[in-house]
Amino acid sequence: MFFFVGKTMKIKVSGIENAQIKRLVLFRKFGKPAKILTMLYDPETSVRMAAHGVHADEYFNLYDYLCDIREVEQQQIQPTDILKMAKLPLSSVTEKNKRYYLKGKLTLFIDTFSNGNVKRVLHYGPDEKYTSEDKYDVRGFLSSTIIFDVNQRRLVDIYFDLAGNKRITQRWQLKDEKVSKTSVIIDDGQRKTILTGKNELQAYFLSQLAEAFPQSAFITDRALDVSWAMENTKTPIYKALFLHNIHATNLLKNPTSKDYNFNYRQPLLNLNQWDCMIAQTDQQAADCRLQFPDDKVVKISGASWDPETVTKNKLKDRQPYKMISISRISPEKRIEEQIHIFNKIHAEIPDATFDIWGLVSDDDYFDKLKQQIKELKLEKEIQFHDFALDISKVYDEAQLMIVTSEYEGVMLVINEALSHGVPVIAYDFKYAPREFIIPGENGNIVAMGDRGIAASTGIDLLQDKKKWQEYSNHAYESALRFSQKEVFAQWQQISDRAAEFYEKGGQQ
Amino acid sequence: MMLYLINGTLNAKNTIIEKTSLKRLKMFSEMGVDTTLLLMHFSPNWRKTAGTIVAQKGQIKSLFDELQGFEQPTASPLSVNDFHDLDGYFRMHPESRDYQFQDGDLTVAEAQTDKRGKVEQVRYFDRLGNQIQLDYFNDLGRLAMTAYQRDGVTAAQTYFDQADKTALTATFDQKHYATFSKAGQHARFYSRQDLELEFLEQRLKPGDIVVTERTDYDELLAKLPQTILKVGTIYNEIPKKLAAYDALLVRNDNQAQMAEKAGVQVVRGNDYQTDGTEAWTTLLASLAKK
Repeated sequence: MFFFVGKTMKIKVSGIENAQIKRLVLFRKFGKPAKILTMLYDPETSVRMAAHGVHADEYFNLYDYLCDIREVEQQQIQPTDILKMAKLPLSSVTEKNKRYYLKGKLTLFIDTFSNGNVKRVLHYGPDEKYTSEDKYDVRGFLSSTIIFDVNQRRLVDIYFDLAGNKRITQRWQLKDEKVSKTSVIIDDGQRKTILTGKNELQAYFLSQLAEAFPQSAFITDRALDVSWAMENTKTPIYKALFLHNIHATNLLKNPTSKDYNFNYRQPLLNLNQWDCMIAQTDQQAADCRLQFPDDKVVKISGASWDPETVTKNKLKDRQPYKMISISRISPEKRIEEQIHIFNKIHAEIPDATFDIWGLVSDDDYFDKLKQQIKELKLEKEIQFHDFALDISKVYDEAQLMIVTSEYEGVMLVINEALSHGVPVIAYDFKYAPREFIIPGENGNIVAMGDRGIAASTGIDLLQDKKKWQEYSNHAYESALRFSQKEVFAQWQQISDRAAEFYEKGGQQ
Repeated sequence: MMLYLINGTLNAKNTIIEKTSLKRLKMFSEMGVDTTLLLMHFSPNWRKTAGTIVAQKGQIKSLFDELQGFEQPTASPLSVNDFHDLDGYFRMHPESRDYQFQDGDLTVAEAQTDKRGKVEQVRYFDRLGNQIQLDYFNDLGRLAMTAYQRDGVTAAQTYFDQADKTALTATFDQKHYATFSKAGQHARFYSRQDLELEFLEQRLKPGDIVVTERTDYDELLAKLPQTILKVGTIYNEIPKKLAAYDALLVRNDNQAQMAEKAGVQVVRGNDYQTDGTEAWTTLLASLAKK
């Protein structure tokens, strides 16, 4: 079994979760058992996973797993059910904005999910202060209860199994008037285990999985959140660090920089406890080998796609002069550079338009971009679009993608664009452009910050239809290097290493 | 007519007042009066105190047992050797009745037993030695209640039913109960007295007699209908609400004078130290006339 160890799964996912899902789909296609692991408590995990096409048997959430909750049939539990259970004299109950008053006194607050099921119920005591909160899973069962102290500060969280038995008790301690999670007691129905904090809880979860699924490979996608747990399981596990980003800062100037990315500091400083680190590009793998042992560095592409799902679109099928950018709206993506480049292109090609797709993760930065667009009087030409689950159509209608990040572990959208026949012009940052772009064939790589060359290359490509078509054809072809078949073959090296690890009795 | 003795708890540390309750229970049985002792406080080990024979007669009812659905008079207390919750830890047994469970050098839990090695309480600790929770086991060998503290003071309690599911949650305002809520219901009590009142009201019928010697129950008795006859017995403390009582069993002249001044019927007797059959016969006979 392969476990892809993450933190949580939202509807609007970042590149890391997107990569996890794509990897899962890849493993599913080739019949290799794999599951995504999430660590945070989230009663909506099931719907979020389903929205991404992840099947119910393809993930485990820590809390669900330790509460023996696996695949559950959807049940209905609506506010009226809560009122019936509460045995309130309904003739004396009034409701306003989900708040239920008994003889004028606030008694219950019942919130619901979008499917109508009860989400949470707050119980109020004297002085209309809440004393406890019941949280329901979106699948329709009581999942946890939070008990508050008299000052409405969290005291204890109790998580239940489907039969209502207490399985996890999480205490909150008060320090400087703030509450923080401290100890956890796990009750597996036979024995209790006392743990301290989320890291020990995660390590316990991973150990349980290691025992239930022997000889599994654990691939860490959210290193910052789970590395300590990975390193401290009771049962030895095969563990690989998946680098989704640069492993250190200033790598352009110093490829052996030891100023490690804070996300990877823990595992990189304790690499002897890890089997390997997985770099997604040749360039990053090479940089890693400059300072880490050769046998600890493995290259596996994060990009993978299914050529059968793509229809080759000719230029006539695309929106003329449509340029796109797809990434989180975040400063390190340097979208302001893309806007400057587009401004130069637009000056030469007035019909050019630019669509920027992505999740806004920095509102201030987003505001700055909007201000920049306003100052350049490009409000009509440049449009922002929110995160979308499927953006195949966006690629299929575009003519050019521009990428200007400061740094990336890999930028899957570059290969996605190429696989849809969209040429890409990118700054020469670490790491991604050199992995996917073959200059003069499927796009171009220009020096960091050279807006002029980036713009002139783009203008040249957009104005020369024959040239654009050649680039587009090459884009389709070049992306085949990262077809699912090719990339899945790369994962065999992890399977082999994991098998060897367990043959040696769990020794690195 | 039923006679109900109302008291708080039965445990190994009981005073003469509780011991007298048990004595009265026996006495009334011998007198042929249907009598039940009602325990109003959380009393997880009352069976051990009262003795198996008394417990099996069904003459003692505990409010919390009723709320929690504990009705297994033949079940046994949990021996520390049958306590397997913490088998993953190293068990130390110092000379006292406390067993410590160690994770390396850290004590993660401590089980307190009675003199026969039956588990009564288990405390859990975090790595800094702070108590995380305190579990109370009852004399039926079940986890009956978990208490959670904040700043060294109990902040909440959860009471469990026979299937280990939450039956009742209590929250505290400083050291006082703030709310009790029944699991799955919004049956909510803003004081222990509300809870106790419901317990009594569900049980008592017109003509029944309630007997108490704890002044704590003055207000509670005052809330019961007049058709219920209320009797106080005085060991030391004079009831604060004498008017709540129909009759008082007093031990001395001072107590008698104070009660009579308030217009309460008085019978002299000292069943704490002597046989009180005669005094009680007189008292019950006078109440019967009412």
